[in-house]
Amino acid sequence: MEIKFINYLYNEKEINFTIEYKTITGITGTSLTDYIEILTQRKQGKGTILVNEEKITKENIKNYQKRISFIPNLLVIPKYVLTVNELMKQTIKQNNLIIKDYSKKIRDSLKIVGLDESYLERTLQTLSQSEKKILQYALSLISNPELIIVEEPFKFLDNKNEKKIFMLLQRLKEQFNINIVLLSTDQNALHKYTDNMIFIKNNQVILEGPTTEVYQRVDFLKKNKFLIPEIIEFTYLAKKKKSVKIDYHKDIRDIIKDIYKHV
Amino acid sequence: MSKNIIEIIGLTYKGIFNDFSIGLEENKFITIAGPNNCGKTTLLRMLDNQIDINNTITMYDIKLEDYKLTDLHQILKVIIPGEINYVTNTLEEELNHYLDLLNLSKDEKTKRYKKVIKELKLSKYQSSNLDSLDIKETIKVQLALAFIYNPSIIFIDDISVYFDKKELDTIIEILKQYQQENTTIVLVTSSLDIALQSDYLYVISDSNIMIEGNPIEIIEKDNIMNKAGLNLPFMIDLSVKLRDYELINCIEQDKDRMVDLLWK
Repeated sequence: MEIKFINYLYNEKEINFTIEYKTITGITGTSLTDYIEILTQRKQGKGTILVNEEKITKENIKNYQKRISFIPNLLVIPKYVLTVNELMKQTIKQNNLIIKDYSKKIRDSLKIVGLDESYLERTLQTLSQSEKKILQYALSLISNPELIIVEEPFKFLDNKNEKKIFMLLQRLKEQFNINIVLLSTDQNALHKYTDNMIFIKNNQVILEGPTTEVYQRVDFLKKNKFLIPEIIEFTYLAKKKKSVKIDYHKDIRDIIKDIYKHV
Repeated sequence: MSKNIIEIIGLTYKGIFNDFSIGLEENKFITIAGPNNCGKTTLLRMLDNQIDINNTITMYDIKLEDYKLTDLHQILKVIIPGEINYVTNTLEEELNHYLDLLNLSKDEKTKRYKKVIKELKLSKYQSSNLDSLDIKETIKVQLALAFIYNPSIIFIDDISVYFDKKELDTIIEILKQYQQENTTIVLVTSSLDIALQSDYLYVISDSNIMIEGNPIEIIEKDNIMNKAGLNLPFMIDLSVKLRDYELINCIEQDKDRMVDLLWK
């Protein structure tokens, strides 16, 4: 789905941004919680929201909300829920989801994220942080969302699990046409893993566009107190101090090749 | 040479640890790094007396089990973010409750109270309901509640994930001050960036210590770090790869100096 917020008034600030179809979009800056509220429409402002060019109104807002899943930073485990299976059933119940064969839906959701059926009987306490993170994706898939909003997606994850989550995000985007929005302050991860970026300052969008382009605006980002991804900062310094003609890259192996050509 | 404050010898536990041994030197700033699920937090729970340790851990040559719990909790603190049960309602009450349990003069209590509030910038939360604090504020409260004891050793489970770089640098700075005042600091993490700021690094993988030593010397062994599932900090990764191409012959952590080194 493509979502456009046009002249949208929230907390006395006018907001304009677009989440493009079939993309991984990063949102960074201060007051990210407000943007979770806006995107999920748990809190409403005034203005226009277009979803695939169709306007969101009071009448269809519930339908919009059903098309979105939100994955918080930490897995919330309700009282009296012990196992993975119980948590998945609870999620269906809590969200009033009408699913014909819910056992199959639960198994399928687990399968997509790469967890086998043995996880169903695992107690939640025995899951590691990374397993809990992956389980959150399975829970989010139960409602067949078109947009998944993830808060701090790579926190708690080591190298191997970070790559695993990124592969999963890519698969959800490519195979299942699910839009992904990542809310984070980790500029290195956002630069590495997103297609588009939105930068927020004082509740307003101050910069948005393709990730590779926007992160090249180093002076602007620094002026607005954003941290610069390390690979960009190094390239920027080389260009500025020595007028070296190396390009900005996402992957360290590419910058090494470029340096090799230009020393 | 300093002596070890904590010794673990031959710890075996549920397939997580297999004949695991480690000796943590007194008054050092130490990092224990390892991938997800390698048992880092389990180890902290053992040190915090939440899991039975079968006489395998000693502190100052005395088995942990032989310490009186009240004494142990004054010299060894374990901080697992968000895992805390408050006994009072506000930060002021909570700090005073624990200060009252210590045999200190009134002046010393006031001094310690003011010191931790100032260091951790907690003054505006003194009357706040502790349950209303977010995770960052909760971690600061956990640190404050540890600092008031002037403990001999503090273990801290992965705090790097909760703070941005600036906030984390400030906390590391405070921890280093406590290290100067003879508290051994042990950070447990899956991020090698934070390890660069410590004196000594242990890497845990496959139920045991995989490698240990000076952080930079350890981290630059990229094959071993990758095998352990740990990301190399960017500048170390860049240095190692440029060295492989024979473009430089050292590890350079500063970006400015690296640029000067490459393009003289």
